[in-house]
Amino acid sequence: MRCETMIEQLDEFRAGELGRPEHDAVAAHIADCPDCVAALAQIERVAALAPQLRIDAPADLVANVLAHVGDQYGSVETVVGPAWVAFNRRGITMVYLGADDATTFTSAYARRLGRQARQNEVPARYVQAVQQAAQGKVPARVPIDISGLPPFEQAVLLSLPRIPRGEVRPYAWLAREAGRPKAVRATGNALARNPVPLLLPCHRVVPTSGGVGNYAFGSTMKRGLLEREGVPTDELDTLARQGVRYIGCTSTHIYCLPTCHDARRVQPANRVPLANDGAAAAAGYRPCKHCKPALIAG
Amino acid sequence: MIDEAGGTLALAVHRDERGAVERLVQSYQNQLFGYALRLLQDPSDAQEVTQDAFLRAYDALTSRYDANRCRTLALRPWLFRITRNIAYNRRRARRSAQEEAFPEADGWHSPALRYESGAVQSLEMQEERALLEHALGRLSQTSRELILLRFVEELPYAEIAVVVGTGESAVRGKVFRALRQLRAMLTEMEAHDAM
Repeated sequence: MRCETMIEQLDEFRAGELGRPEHDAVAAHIADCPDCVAALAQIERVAALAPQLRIDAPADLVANVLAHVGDQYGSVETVVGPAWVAFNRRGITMVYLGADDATTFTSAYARRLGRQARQNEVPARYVQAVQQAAQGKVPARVPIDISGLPPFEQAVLLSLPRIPRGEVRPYAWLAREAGRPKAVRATGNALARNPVPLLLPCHRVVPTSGGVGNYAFGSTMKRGLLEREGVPTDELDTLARQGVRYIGCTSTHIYCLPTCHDARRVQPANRVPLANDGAAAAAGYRPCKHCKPALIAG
Repeated sequence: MIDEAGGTLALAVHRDERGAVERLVQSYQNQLFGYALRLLQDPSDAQEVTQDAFLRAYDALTSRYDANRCRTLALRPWLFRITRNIAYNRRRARRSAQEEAFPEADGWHSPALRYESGAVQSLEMQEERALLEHALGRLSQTSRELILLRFVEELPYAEIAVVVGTGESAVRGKVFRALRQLRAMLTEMEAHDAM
């Protein structure tokens, strides 16, 4: 056997990392090759010495890493009172309204997400986004982490940002957007459990029959949020009492949901109140392509 | 070689098990910090890089990798590779920020000597160690890195191949040549000392 083929294997031979046949071949070779014996001795010396060059990590390294992983929370003052904001490295995990003390929040957090959160300072851009959303302004873009929720809940919640600020949509509309038009009740349940209200605007979803509807933190708060976003809530109540779901336009022959920005541009003289999809179809109107009012389940 | 225990630990981190991240950091921090320190020559840079590497690993394990990928992950070389990427990027950024007035920016000034472990060592061992450290400093960047991975951190060839991103047989050849240079240097330095 030639040295060139053996010598590259000496180190693995030393470490016992060679397979049986290779090991035996090297052992046979070095039995009568003084050069390889010398080389092996030097490799062994390096291997014996090198571990002394190991270095211990600084004592605070573990704590520094741990400080950045896991869920954290803090409180943010908003126009609707204190909001508890929880977050991890992936984004905001919860916004909780209506609790004065941290204990109420932390137990709600553990109940809803099954995780513990540790108190810490909320990043400034998260504070700003939550405050803006509560004021009815367009919030700064911030990452939101709802990755632990069931897929359908995620689909429902992630469809919410498609409702423009200043407008509302029925539950059935959202169910359709989330890909399950018949799961209207399940959609309602997902919204009631929305861990990130304000930023995922579940307050913009209203009963199919009209009006403002319920909210996890009370219908008064919902009404206030919508009004700050520019939704005419009194008008929604009136339309609900009159049994009006859509607004049609006599000049374009298009019908919209009442808060659609296209519906609001219709001249008063051209406005036609419509009770349902059937009435709209009978009048020869087509659904608006922006607010997509035709409810498949309807 | 698949690191069995590594896969289990990766899975525990993936599942957000209590104490998993702490176990991850404690298992690998000395190796990764030592490696980063020798690549960067600066303790605070090395600490930041190591911390960043753990956080990136955490992000990947908890959001991008599914359970199966975590289970079969060769954790140790993967962590070394993350650390290496961050360290190289940082070194590149630092170099371009530095004036070219420091041509010896790559200079080896034996960081370990400021990081003595508490262990009492004989004078002879200390001398031997200093000798090795000095010889390492005269190797090329590539050779030095390979010697560190193979002999200081004691990684198998297959793992080194993952860390540096080349084939295993190429690593074997490079380690062999690095070792030959190192042995030549040690012999020469000892001959010089003996005079």
